[in-house]
Amino acid sequence: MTSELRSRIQAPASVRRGEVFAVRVTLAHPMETGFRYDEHGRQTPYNVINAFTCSYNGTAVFSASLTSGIAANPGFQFFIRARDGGELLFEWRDDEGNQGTARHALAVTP
Amino acid sequence: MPTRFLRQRRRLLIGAGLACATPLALAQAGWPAIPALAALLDGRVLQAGRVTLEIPKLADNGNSVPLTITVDSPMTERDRVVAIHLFSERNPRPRMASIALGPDAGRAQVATRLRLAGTQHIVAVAEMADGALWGAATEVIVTQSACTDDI
Repeated sequence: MTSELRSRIQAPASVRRGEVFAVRVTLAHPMETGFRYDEHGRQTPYNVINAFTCSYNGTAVFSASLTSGIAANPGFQFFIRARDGGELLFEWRDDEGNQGTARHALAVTP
Repeated sequence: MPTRFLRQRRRLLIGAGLACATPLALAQAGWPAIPALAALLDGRVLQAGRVTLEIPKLADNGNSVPLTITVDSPMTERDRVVAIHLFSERNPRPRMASIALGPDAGRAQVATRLRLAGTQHIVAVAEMADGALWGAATEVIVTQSACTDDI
């Protein structure tokens, strides 16, 4: 069963053209290492967010492939240079096929 | 007394002589001997410098260790970081993350949180637009590993 994954995106709503701004992303995910056991002694299978991409008006800015070396509820901070107004699109998926999508509208003032 | 230039030249030549294709060659070049890192380099030279790792020297708990990677790069169209790779010496999966940065990335800085299986070295490799590889390694002392069971 796949489900929609949750997230929190922090980015400015409006920036000046040419300005460099920070984007902070937190994704809700246990990032299972495959080494944990539940109360019945069953092994919890390896399941992490293996791909996360942020695109700015269709062009990838930050595109990561991840493993269990990234902490649970993975968080990232990176920087984007404002070009034109538009949309930041965040997409990610885990090993079980669950996917997440988030959008952030960005206004650019001259 | 060799000049600074000659010293640097010698260091470069030594670096070039050691094709970092095997963990042993990596160790001889002063890097942690991580097979996955050797596989990424595939014979290319990993130069030390331009990459700064900001990470606690001592982490009480390996479950979530904050890390900031900063690369000395103007991030212009020609001269920019295209990818950052993160390697762990002791984790079951040594390649922790590979991050590609697009042309709109405004600053060569990325922050995240790592999960570390015990005290170890971590290595960050920055791949530049001209193909050069710059890296930094640092040791993190982890009091409680991430891969222990509570039971």
